[in-house]
Amino acid sequence: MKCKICKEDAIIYLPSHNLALCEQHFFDFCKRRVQKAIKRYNLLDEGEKILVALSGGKDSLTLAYLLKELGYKIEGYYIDLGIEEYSERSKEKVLNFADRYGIKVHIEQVKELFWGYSIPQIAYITRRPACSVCGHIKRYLMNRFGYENGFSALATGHNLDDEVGVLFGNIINWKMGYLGRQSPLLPSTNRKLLKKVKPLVLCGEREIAAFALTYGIDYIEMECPHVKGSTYLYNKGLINRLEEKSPGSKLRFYQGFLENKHLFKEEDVDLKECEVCGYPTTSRICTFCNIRRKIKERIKGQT
Amino acid sequence: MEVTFQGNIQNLDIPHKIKVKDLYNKLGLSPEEYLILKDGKLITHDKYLDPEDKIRIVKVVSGG
Repeated sequence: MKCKICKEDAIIYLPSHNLALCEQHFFDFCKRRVQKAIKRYNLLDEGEKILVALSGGKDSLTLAYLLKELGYKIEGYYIDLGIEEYSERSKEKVLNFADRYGIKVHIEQVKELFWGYSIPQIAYITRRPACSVCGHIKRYLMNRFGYENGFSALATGHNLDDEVGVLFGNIINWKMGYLGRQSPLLPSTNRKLLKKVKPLVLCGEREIAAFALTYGIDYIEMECPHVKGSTYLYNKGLINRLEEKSPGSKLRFYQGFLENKHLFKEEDVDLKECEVCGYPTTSRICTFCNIRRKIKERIKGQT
Repeated sequence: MEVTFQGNIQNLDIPHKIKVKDLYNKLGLSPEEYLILKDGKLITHDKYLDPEDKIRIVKVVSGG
């Protein structure tokens, strides 16, 4: 198979674009997809101070690499979740990546903020699913760190497959509020809430992994042990079967949704300041502070 | 054929040359979910692999 542009040997064929590309032209293709998403969805401005959430996986590291390549001013942010081998290995990948590409990276540790407790332990004590606790804590910490350190945007590595997986789940369950909110751009609606952007939404998971492998981005292949068997992963599998039969389905589904997003009204939320930490929340006390309160009670009960 | 998958090395009994596309089918792998590399480089589905080749299979789906 030859590269459609230069006729050199292709390294990858992209069925959804009916396009075979060589190493150099695949690089240009991925860079253009990110540029296109940024421009089309008005994600970032030049010179903006961007905090990139790094997990050590292919998506976040590739995102940081491409944003830097495109000339954006970025710094990385990593949260050590305390999930034993997974966290140790992912942290090592992030630190090596940051060192290699000269990216400043900030690290916070869940155990330091929760009196020695890790995500699995917090989930157990609060009787919540690990992924739910983890998501709440990560979103809160990323936003707080970004706000307190003068960043205007938080960029995450959500890719096309992630967005399609979430969209499919939201439609199956007709989560109208979530459908109204799902977007590559979540503008800041409060001075203490950072703008959140997803510049990889036009890049498929396969393309991102291929990019990382081709250009030597050393990422963690190991999956978080808590994600195994999730409905979300099962849905991704179903969507991949569809994509194999009908290439381009993911892109059509997602882009079609964004074009028709006006059909799903975003729910109005009344934000107030959390009585404990002062960050915006819909309740009297935010979820993060509630989780901390439960852990504190547990510690008190033990002494 | 020597196959590396998630850091583990296994030997696969492939007596003759095989097309990459046919290897996906033989192993029951979805081309949307797995990438195959030969000598550290990606390889398209129309290429052939020799029984003595060393390949790496990488799963691309992640939990988000």
